Parts: sequence; C-alpha cells; structure tokens
Amino acid sequence: MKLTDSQIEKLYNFTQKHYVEWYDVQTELVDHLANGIETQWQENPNTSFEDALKTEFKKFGVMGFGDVVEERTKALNKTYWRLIWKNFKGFFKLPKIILTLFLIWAYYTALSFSMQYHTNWVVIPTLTVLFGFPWYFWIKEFKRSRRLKKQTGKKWLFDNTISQLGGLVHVMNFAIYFQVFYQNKQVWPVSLSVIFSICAVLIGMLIYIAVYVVTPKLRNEMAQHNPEYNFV
Amino acid sequence: MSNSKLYKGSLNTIILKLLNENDKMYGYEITQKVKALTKGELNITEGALYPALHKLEAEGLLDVEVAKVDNRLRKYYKLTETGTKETVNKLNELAEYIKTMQALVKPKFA
Repeated sequence: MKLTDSQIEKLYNFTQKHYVEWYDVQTELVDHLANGIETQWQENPNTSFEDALKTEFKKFGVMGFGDVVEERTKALNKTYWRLIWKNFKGFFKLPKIILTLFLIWAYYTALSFSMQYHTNWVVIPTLTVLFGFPWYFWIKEFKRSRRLKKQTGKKWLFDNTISQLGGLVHVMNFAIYFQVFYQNKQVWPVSLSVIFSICAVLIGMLIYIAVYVVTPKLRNEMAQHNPEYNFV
Repeated sequence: MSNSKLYKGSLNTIILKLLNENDKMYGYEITQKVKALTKGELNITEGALYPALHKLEAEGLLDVEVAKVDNRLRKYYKLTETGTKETVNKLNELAEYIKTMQALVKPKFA
C-alpha cells in the first residue's frame, strides 16, 4: 500500500509543525517517514496512518528533527566555505597571484597618497563597500526568498545559507569597531597601511568569490540535482 | 545507532561501503540494508544517519540527486571520486582497528 498525495502533504505539514521550515530538509524527511509507514503497512495493513507516523517519528529520538536540521545547516555552511576556500587559494597561485599582488600594491599606493593629504578618501569608501555590500546582498536575497515563498510556498535552507554568505554577514558586524578610522586623520605608519591594504584586498576577494563565484555555482548545481529548484 | 555506541565511530565507513557497492542509495534504504545485512543486529537510527550523510556530503565525499519516485521526491546519495578513494582508506583503517582489537581481546600466547 502506497501513501496518497494528501498523506504526503500531511507529512510536509507534520515536519513543518516539528520546526522544520525548510523545504529541502522537509523533502528528505517526508520520503523517510513515507517509506517507514509503507513498510509498517506491509507488515500490518490495519495500522492507521497516524499511528504509523507516530512510530516512525519516535525513531528520530527525543530531539525529533532538531539534530537533522542543525547538522544540515552546519553541513551546508561547510560546503559553502569549502568552495570559497578552494577558489580563494587559487588567488595565491600563478597566474592569479600576480593580480592579487598588483591589487594590494595599487591599493597601498592609493592609501598612502590619501594619507599624505591627511584624508580618509580611500579608507571610508573601502569600509563602506566591504561592510555595506554583504548587507546589501543579504537584503536582496532575503527579498528574493520572500518572493519565492509567496510564489511557491517553499523556503530553502540552501538559499538561507547563500544569503548569509555562509555566516560572513555576521562577521561583518565588526564594522562598528572600525569607526576609529573615521576619526583618525593622522598619517598611519607604513606597517599599518600595508596590513590594512592586505586585509582590504583579501576581504574584498572573499566577498567577490562568495557572491559572484560560489553562489551561482551552487545554485546551478542545486538546479541540476533537484527538479523542484527550477528558478535559477 | 541504538544498540551499541561501539558502532558509532564506524557509521561513516558503513555508509561509504554500502554506497560503494550500490551506486546510489537513499536514507531509508541504507537503514534497511544495514538491518538486513546484519540480520537486525545493527540498527542505524535516523537521528544519526542523516547528520552523517550531510556531513559526508559537505566533505565532498558524496554527491546528491533528487528524483521523483511515485508521488514524492527522493534524495539519492552516491560516492564522488574523492569518496571512492576515501572508502578504501576508511575500510583499511577499520580492518586495522579490528585487528588491533582482536589482538587485545584475544591475545595469542606463544
């Protein structure tokens, strides 16, 4: 005996009620529960759908689906950072390392030039872009997810990971500590300028890789592997 | 795994080994296969299986594919190239572990 469409729908609602709001996670759990229920029906066809579901859910232990969601979130972040790191390393190998070094040198030159005139013309726009852009991206993605939820009724944990840049958005909260630069118009020592230039270029590269390399790559992979994710 | 914590460290190896033999599998199928192979002796719990699968996927050892089966979607797992290589390493590690444990538990006296 197989589950009907309405019973499958009930299973989706069941996972939703048990705090799994992400469609990609729900799908795997629904199939698992459905398989379990069907196996029970093979052994005992008189078991009701509700009772069979209760038995299957118990197998997930006291934490219910909690562990699955938590581990899935961690795993998605890990996948995301593994890809970022893979691409990031590429910028330290020939030929791309030439571009990396050139960018650091160019930035340092611009920074030193602005320092000579006791201005923050380079520092302020840099910080604004580096810390503002991830937030702009997050808001843009948040709106996209909300629109998709309205259109399809589905929310994807996968999209949530992408929108938060694998947690990078929260790291950017540190921007608040950088206000010191806004007030400090003294000429920086060379070492500070060099460190700042390296950090600015590397963080910029990290954001670029996350938004323009890893995000589209993951979306395409997801679309290839999942027939439901057809809005790339 | 409900029946023994001793099996816990070998869960990843069990999953990799099964996928190595079966091309692609879904979560429920893995639990049933283990149950059948061990004649019900080993029971992989759902709460341990999915986190393990997701972790292996994040490490790049597994690839996924979602397909419509009957009236629902099913997520299949299969080994990547790295996953196939890692299976060999993990199986060797496990064999070494079993050998060491046997030497400890049943020492041969000359």
